[in-house]
Amino acid sequence: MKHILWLLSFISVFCFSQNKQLLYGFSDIPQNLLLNPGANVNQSGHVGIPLLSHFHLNVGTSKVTVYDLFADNNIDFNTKLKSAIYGVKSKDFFTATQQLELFSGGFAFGPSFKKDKYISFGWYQETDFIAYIPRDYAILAYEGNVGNTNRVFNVGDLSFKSELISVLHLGFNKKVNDKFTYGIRGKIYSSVANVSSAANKGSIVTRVGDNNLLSHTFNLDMAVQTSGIASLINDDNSNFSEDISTLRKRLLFGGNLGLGLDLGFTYQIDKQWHVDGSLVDIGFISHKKDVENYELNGTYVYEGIDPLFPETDGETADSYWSEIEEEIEELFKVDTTATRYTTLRPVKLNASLNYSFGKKRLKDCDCLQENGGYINRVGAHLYAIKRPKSPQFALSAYYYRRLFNGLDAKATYTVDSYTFYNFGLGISTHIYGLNIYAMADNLLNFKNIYDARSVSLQFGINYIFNKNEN
Amino acid sequence: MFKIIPFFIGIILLTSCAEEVDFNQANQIQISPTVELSLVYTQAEVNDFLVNGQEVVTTETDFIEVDIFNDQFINDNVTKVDLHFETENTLPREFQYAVNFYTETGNYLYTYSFSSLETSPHIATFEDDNLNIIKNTSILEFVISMLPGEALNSETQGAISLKSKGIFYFNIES
Repeated sequence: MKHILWLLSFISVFCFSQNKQLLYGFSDIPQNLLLNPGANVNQSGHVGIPLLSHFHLNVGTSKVTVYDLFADNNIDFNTKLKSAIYGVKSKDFFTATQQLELFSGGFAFGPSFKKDKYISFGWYQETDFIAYIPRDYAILAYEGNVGNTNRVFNVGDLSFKSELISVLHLGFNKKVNDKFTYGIRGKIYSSVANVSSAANKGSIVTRVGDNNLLSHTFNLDMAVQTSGIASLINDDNSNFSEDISTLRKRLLFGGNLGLGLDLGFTYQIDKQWHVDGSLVDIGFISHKKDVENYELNGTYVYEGIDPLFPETDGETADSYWSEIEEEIEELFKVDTTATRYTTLRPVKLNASLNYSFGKKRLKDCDCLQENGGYINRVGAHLYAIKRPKSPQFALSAYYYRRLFNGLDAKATYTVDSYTFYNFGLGISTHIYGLNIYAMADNLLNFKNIYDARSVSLQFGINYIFNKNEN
Repeated sequence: MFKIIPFFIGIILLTSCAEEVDFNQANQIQISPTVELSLVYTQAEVNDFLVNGQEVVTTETDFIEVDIFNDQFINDNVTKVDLHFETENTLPREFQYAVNFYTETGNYLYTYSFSSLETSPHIATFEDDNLNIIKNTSILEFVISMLPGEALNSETQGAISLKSKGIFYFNIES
């Protein structure tokens, strides 16, 4: 029990959404091409500083925070646990995403007077986790079935997915004309480890029985699929570092492979308005190696047994009871299979409408700078991600400003599954071609990090070749 | 300009406080679910007591082995068990019921008995010292005996029935 609690608290610390509302459309940072391969490209080339070019961490919980459960106040822990259990819905979840770019780069090409194409590439590692809160299990464990006659406990409340993958990608961006830019990115996924249990169905119900006082109905159709995990658990060594080195080998094509695609565009409506949009991670991973699945299937109605006058003649009550015991054991017997399976990547949608304004006033001539572009931009950004139970959405409004030459900032206000008060801030500097950026959202929650519904951090360092330097 | 990013990160770190949390509270966890489970049931009509129209069978007995009472989780966390029996009788004779508790090796532990003359339901409560009876029980023997009275024959109308459930009170602490 204690272990389960620790696991829960660990999960609740580790919780996300993958939304990168601060980075999206931040055209000064090359990694924004990973969110929209068809974004406007300002630079003529870039090189990510290996291992430092992009780090992203996003943890989130749609309901219960660490502080809700573990606050050191004088409220009894069990009271807090109770209000946590009864406060959640089965669509509430914990989530976490982490990304680390191992290397990245890109360059513009085309006719020397008009380099209108851009190739970008890289390799990053991603960990992704989502678990819905198994509310009905929690209530059944908390109350038991007494007083819950006829209540249908949904075993489908158990739903989680987790994976560790590496992604090798190559993207192409083309500025067709002054109005339209599109981009496409191909990805090869290598799944290091995957565990998924997202299609559970069935129920447990206690009813008033026909022959006896109670009738218990078990209707179970459950499965957990894993790849890349069985070999780590079942190997003879208990040496963790050996497992780590096995994992490392799988990062590059050593795991279960998959393919994916990102699409995106930018359309300049007029000088000040533009729209853009993207679909990211349209793809799948085919799990063939090191697969171990667990299945639980069956239906059983149990009313008890008749020891004295069983309907089947010539059978003792005990052998009759043994049969029932066997049937129940069979129902709860977990079948292990090695059937290959395919997982779909969580597809993400981004779309934004943007308005630029305010040209920079030059000191030396007291006139507006003509070619420097606008220094302010506001916009609205819609983000959606496909999740096992239902898509999750986030809507952001932002203000972007070029503060000085070489210092850009973006502030966002986001409404999502976690909170209605998500303020974020990101800045990006350019010094002699070196681009450093850092972003964080849910700034209000930094007052008490344990009470945060979600926290998202991103930072990185790139070297950028500017067009005007060539 | 290079100072701006560290400054920015510094601001976040400085402003990101954490109010006091105490993860040891997990040790105080205590939940008390109550689980009810169907046990045995039986129903008998006049014919079950007759052979060639004559009343010969006056006692029915049989036993079952129950693993569930010896389950480690139940043994560790159960605080009280109620065995709940409901009887109905429309026969013109009364019945005595007995439930005998035995260990795995067949050692006698306890008997709970009731009759159809008493008001149903009949509830056997096992708590405190008594609880060990349930924890040690592996075999339950059921006996139904017909009490003396006017003999049944094939013309007699009616039936007897027994229904039961077990209610397990848990107190689960870490």
